[in-house]
Amino acid sequence: MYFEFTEDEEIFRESVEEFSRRYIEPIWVDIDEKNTIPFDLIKKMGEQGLFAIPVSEEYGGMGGSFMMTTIAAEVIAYYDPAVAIAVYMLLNNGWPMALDLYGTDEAKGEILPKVASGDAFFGIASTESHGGSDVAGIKSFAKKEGDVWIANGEKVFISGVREVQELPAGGGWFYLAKTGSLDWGHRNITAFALLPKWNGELKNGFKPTLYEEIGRGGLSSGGFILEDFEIEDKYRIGEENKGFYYVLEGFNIARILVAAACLGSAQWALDQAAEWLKNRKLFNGRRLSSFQGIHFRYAELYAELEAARLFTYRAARLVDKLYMEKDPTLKPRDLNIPVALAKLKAPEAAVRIYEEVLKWYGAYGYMKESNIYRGWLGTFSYVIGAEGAQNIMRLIIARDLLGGEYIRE
Amino acid sequence: MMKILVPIKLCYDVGQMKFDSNTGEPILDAVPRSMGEADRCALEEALKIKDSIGGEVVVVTIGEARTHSKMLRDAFAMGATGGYLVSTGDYDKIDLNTVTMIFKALVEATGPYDLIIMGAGSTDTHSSLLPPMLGAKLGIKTVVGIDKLEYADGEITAVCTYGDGSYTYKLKPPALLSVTSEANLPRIPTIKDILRAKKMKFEELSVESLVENIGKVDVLGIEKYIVPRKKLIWEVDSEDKLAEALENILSVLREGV
Amino acid sequence: MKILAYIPDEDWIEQILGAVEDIEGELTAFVLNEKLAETAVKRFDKVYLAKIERFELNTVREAVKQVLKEYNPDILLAPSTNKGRAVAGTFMGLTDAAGVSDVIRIELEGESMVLERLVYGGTAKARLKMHPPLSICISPGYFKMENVLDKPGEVIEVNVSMPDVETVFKPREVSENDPTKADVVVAAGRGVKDEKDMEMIKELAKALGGAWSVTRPLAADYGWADSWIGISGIVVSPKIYIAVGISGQPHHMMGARNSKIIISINKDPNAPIFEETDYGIVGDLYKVIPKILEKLREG
Repeated sequence: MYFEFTEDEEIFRESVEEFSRRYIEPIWVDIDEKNTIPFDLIKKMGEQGLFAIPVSEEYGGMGGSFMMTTIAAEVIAYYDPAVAIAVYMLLNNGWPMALDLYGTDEAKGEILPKVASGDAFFGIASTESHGGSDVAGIKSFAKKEGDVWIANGEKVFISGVREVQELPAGGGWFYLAKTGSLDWGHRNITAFALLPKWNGELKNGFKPTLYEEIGRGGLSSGGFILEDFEIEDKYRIGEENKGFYYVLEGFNIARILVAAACLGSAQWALDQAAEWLKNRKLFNGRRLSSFQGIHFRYAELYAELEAARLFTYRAARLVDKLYMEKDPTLKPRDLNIPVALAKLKAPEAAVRIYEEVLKWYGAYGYMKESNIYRGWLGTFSYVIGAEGAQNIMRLIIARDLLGGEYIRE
Repeated sequence: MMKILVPIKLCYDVGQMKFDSNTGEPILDAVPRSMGEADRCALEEALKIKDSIGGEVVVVTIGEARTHSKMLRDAFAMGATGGYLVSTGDYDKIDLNTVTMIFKALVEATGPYDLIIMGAGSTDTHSSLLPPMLGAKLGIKTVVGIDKLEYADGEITAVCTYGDGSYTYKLKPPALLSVTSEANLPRIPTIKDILRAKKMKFEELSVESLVENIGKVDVLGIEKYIVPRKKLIWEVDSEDKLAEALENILSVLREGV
Repeated sequence: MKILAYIPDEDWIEQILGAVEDIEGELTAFVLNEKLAETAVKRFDKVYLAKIERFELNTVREAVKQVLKEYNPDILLAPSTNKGRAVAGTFMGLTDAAGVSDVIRIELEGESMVLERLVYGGTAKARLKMHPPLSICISPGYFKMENVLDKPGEVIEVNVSMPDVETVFKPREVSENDPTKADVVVAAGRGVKDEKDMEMIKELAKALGGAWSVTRPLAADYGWADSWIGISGIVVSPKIYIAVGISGQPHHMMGARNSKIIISINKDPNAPIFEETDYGIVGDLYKVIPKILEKLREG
């Protein structure tokens, strides 16, 4: 597949690079250390138009392409290899885009401009304690009473639990709950825009907890319990009992951005390593870069990264073709394999690169101040799960290639 | 309302220079290029004036559409209202006199301009000769190497730092001003700016339509500049090593002083 | 050959003369104040004096025009400083002469000249063949007159009118700390974490009878100093340059590369500065500098 960027995509990449050099690179370590992204950086990102990039201008979005969103996630993660800022940014793009696709005009008009300005956060809340991969098996339940839905249940491993409470406007998540008979399997799930804090006001029935993670320090992770939490019907996303399909589309979108963040972080690690290998001298002053064993490993790792990059860019182009250009020959499910390939390969390449780079650095890499470990821990989150576990990606690929009926015997 | 011309140059990122290990020659194809740092600051100053009193900011560069159109569009995204590309494939070789004559001819053909604001020096060759040349050639008031520029009530205030101190000049347009990369922190275009710029067009002029003779610089060779150094480096991972290193360095210091 | 040299101050006389030591011809100076004219006249055949108290390029341009009416040089020489480049560029614009800055070597080759100049942020040098009339801006610290000769010159005054550019001049505060003139320069980079730690740097400079300076971020971003060493700041060429916590980016090295001996202290063994170092310590400056100070005190 031949690949090139348009002129405006290149200019956009340079603009995000300059923004990141100015405002992110000097403080990324501090952010990782102190476990919080300063609000003035979030505001600056909003002013620069880094949230709601693929959202239509009508709802306060940037009217940009999904490829640009992907580029932004990749670039920001290069300057914050711990990936907290990139992930904060990509959640605030992917899920607003999903809301833009299926939400009501009223909800979109209310929520999206505040996300775009940085005053609110809008992520994803689907995972429950039995595991994130089994979306169809969620236990959260919402019952309609007049014009409102009464939601109950617990969500775990949710990004942005602290941010939603701390941001001036608040925000929430693309939220899933069962709304039909439990026998219907995945055909009984409805999606909502859940806004525990909105217009600065904390709603009743929301009981949050915060977790401590080993990496990606700047972004909070936590869970919450809903107790008779009221959701107005205008916040329902799409048709009743079709939420499962919408969230899969949302996941496809978010997975590409997650892959992009892993690419950016891994590229940073490879660039750091290149400088190290060229300058580090061992044994009678021989540079590390002069050893053939190193050449081979470096080239292999680069090949893995570049392959994952092409997977990611291709998937991003497909999203633009499907949702922005509305190519009638494409269906949402056509994204499944291309996205799964990107999400399977990019985090794995990143983690492999970090492990090798840490070994090349020797004792220096094991020192906290080398900061290499921060990228390792940050990207490791994405081989574990977060927007879909690796085996789910394999399952998606195998199912579509072999046919569902042959793998479910 | 002001009409301002901002000449810009596509410059190599000197922080990423690569050299051939055998010949020492620079491998310029591998070095990324973008608008010169000081040129970008010049454009920012022009845009600030436009933002406050209105007018046009026109950029001009000498080069090829293939390589230079992205930079022009970048300038549009920042806020330039129009642009010219003086097209020639030899843009890296033409001499300063020809460049001066090209800009003079362009000013005469597309002007008059109230102000010409340009970078004091380019990021890659940093000669800093073009602004005073063009100012002299056009016969307009010229201030070069401006670190701080203000425009209010029809008057320019320019602060320059030269070797012996700081100079503050006050003058009225028309004028040619060259600013340093210290002058400001240029705006970064947003997506909306970039998408707007996508629809804008620059005007292409052939170099021959502006000047008759094209002079070229006669470059005999370029190679990596190395000052031979002793490179005695001590990694002081122990007190002994530190003592050894200090002994050597102190003897150098005592000798030198 | 007829040479006209713009001399901004006394320090440049020997460097300018050094640049054309091997070229035979008439040496003429162009100066902007009387006191400098009196000094220059002992070294040049002729001195054109335009009394311009405060440097203002448009006034200088009028003066250059006056000089050119009487004297048409083959070569204009100037320092590669803001003022020098401004005068050189003005001369080029008025005469259509060719020109080049940052010149570090000048050779005559028949009727033409071969010049070496620094380019690409000082990472490379280019050899150019050029033909008079020509303007040459020389880099500081590369040329020096070996045999200073007394010349029985004459001062010719040019009259200039003042254009309507109001000029206010605030001289650089005269401080004992002048890195451009010191034999030893101690420069601090981003490895120095706090402004109060600059005391240590200043103390080292003092102990060595030298001057101190910083890299661009410490001055421009943090405001710990008024000037910095580098392409956009000052250029130094001391006998000994001590780089403390400086990584050695090209833009900085352009201002320091012409030092005779470079000593560097940096905790990052991969810092590019070590490629341009004579004597280097890979270590923590907060341990190394106090040790050096201690040893210097011991004598």
